Amino acid sequence: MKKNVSNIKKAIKYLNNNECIAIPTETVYGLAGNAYSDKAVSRVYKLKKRPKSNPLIAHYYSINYLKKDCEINDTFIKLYKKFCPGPISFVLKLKKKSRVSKIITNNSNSLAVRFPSHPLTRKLLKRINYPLAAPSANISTSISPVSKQDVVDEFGPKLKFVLDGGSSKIGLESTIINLIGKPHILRLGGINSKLIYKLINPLENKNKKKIKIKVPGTSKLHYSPGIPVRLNAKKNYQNEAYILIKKRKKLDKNYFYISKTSNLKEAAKNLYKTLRIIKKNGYKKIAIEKIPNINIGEAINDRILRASKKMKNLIEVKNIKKNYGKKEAVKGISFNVEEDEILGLLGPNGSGKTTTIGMLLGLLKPTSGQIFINNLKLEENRIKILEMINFISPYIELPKKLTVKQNLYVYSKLYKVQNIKERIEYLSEKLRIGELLNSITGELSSGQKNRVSLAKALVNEPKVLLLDEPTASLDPEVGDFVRTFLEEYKKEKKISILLASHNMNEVTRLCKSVLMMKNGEIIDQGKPEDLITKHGRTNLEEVFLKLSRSKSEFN
Amino acid sequence: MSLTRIYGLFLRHFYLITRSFPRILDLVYWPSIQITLWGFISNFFATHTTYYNNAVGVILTCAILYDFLFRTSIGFNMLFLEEIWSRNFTNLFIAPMRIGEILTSLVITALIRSLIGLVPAILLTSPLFGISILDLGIFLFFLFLSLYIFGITLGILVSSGLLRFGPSFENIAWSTMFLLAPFGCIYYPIETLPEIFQRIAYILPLVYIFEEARNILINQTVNIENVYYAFIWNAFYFSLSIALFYYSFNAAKNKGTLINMGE
Repeated sequence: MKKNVSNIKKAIKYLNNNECIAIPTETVYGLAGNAYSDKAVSRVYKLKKRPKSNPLIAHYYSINYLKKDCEINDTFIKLYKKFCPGPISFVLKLKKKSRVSKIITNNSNSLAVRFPSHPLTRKLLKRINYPLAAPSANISTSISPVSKQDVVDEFGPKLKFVLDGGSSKIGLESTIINLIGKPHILRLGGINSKLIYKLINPLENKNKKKIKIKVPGTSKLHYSPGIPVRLNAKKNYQNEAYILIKKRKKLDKNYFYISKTSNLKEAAKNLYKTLRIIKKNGYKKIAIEKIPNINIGEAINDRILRASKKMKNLIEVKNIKKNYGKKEAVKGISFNVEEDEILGLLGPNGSGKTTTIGMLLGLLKPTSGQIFINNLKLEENRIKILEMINFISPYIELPKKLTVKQNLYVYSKLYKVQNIKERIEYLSEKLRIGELLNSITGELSSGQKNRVSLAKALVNEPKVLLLDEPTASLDPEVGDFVRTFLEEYKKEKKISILLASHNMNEVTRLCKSVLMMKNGEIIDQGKPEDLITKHGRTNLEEVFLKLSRSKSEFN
Repeated sequence: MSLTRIYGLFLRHFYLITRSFPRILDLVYWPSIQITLWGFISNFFATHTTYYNNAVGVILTCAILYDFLFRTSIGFNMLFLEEIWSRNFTNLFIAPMRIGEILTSLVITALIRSLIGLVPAILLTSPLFGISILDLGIFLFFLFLSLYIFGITLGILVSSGLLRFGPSFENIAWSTMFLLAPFGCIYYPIETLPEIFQRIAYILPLVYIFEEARNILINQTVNIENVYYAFIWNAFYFSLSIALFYYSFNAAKNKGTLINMGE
């Protein structure tokens, strides 16, 4: 009890200083900041890496606090009395005099509000004189956290304080109902939709129009474990994690129960926790048993459906060939690179890697075959595609006599970047080149030039990045910095990267899967660990050597 | 066509020129030396030949016109070569720039480069030799325009060669103007050439431009036909150069020159 009081005091101190903290709720843990402070809510967005176009839910202690900020109506009062505090959020009209930060409403005149029931958070809300903007405490689009440990795993030391309130009772986010215009449910969640519609007489609202509003947590790719999810699965395949809702006689090490008795409330509570465990255990595929679509099962299915949304292929290469006269440089290769994936392109010198990259960049015309980038055919949409891709290689450089800033400015213009100043500032900070901006590019060290080239390659916020030996000739420290940066940037922006490298440790670290090329053909492909196992070697370098030295049928 | 991208590429070369005093000096130095030299030669001819008796500034004016042509053509090639030398060529061609945007930007930049060299040279002629190129009147504009188009045309033709054959074509870039100079009849009337050379000269716009410059200065008359033929031939060669550039770009994409440029 004493510990709780001291933790609440600590939490208030952080919040009053416009810091963000994690708070427990009955649904999931929230990343909270003072909803009246632009500074605090900006920190929430930044830490969560959430697009600012996506608004946040403001958490209030009671209706009396809410009245200062929102216009309330009879429907709201009915629902409030029945379900609050609890797992339901309302979209209401914002009062003109409201002090709520415009950032969390995305400058609109509506606000999503909620009254959480978790006792600790209620005590906290009662003792502060502002609402808390609190989206789920996870990196945008990943799985919501349901315990303190989940939050710590997600943010690590970047988050200064987590108010520990045990495991979340419900385990799924709140139901969101829009009360502007005709009431309608925007997101299924902790409260069953039937209970809500039972309470609201739809006839009293029949003349009102349904108004479309951008609300939190409704994007198609939300709650994603980042692993393909197969729905309504009757059985699991080899190495596939299988989520079950009732106990099976035959035990399998890949079974994960969210309930052993078909208890949907229990299943909801355990869903996110189970997805996190599966991800931690390194599974690459998930199958889920059919969940009954009743009561909170509706919300479970909604989340599973979103989690299962397939990542799209940003690069699709279909049977491309490249001949130079009689010489076949690339002999009809096909591969895809998914959104948010790094694919390694490996092979000895002369295997066709550079030719392949050249064709993807539109610098080389394939003799036959097709290339699609973001579903656009390269041959017919060269300019549109070049606007969304970029490339770095140690073999090409930026104009040496120009300053770094001039180079970035010129390329920003060539890529028609909006807000050039902000973009250059952002990249300078991320790539630590702020102090180099006024230096002559040709006078920089290899490591500095590499970071500047990377900044140029990211100036247009590419969806697809092609990297040819991005860390060649760099010292280990700078090489590690570049790799870490690429990992984080890919995670943040969900871009696709095709990485040609001879550094096998780099490939093992960064790539989800690799293609092995030799003599213009793909001679093997798969996840690095699978290739190591398949070829009976201890690391990827040995696999590379085995394949490149073998006198295979391809020679 | 995007003006932003055209401006972006222009800026790349503008920064390059303004950052380097030797580059500016190089642009100004040669035209001024050239004009000074031809100024003294024309002074000498004016006092020793009857042909130039009535127009002291004919050789000097033609030298200025030729230098403008030379600077425009070389200037265009230099811009292209600059990308190869700085190993920036691939970056440029993977940027979302249309060929038309690249060419437009280089055409504008080449004009500015040429004017940086030409204006001081023109200004020198008056105090040093008492000659003003403005004596050509309104037709000066048409002659300059015609030379500028032909200079750009030669630049685009050479750049097509660079695209198609790679940096090994660089030497040709420097010699094109010298190859055409004898047929241009820059300092002498076309009749001076053997008949077979005259036939070649007549299918180039240069001969009409320089003949007309001499005609205006010596005879004080205007033969509009010369201006007209110069533009007709310019239009032909300019269209040919653009077509060749596109052809070379596609050929380079087939051959792989774009990806190996600078190596």
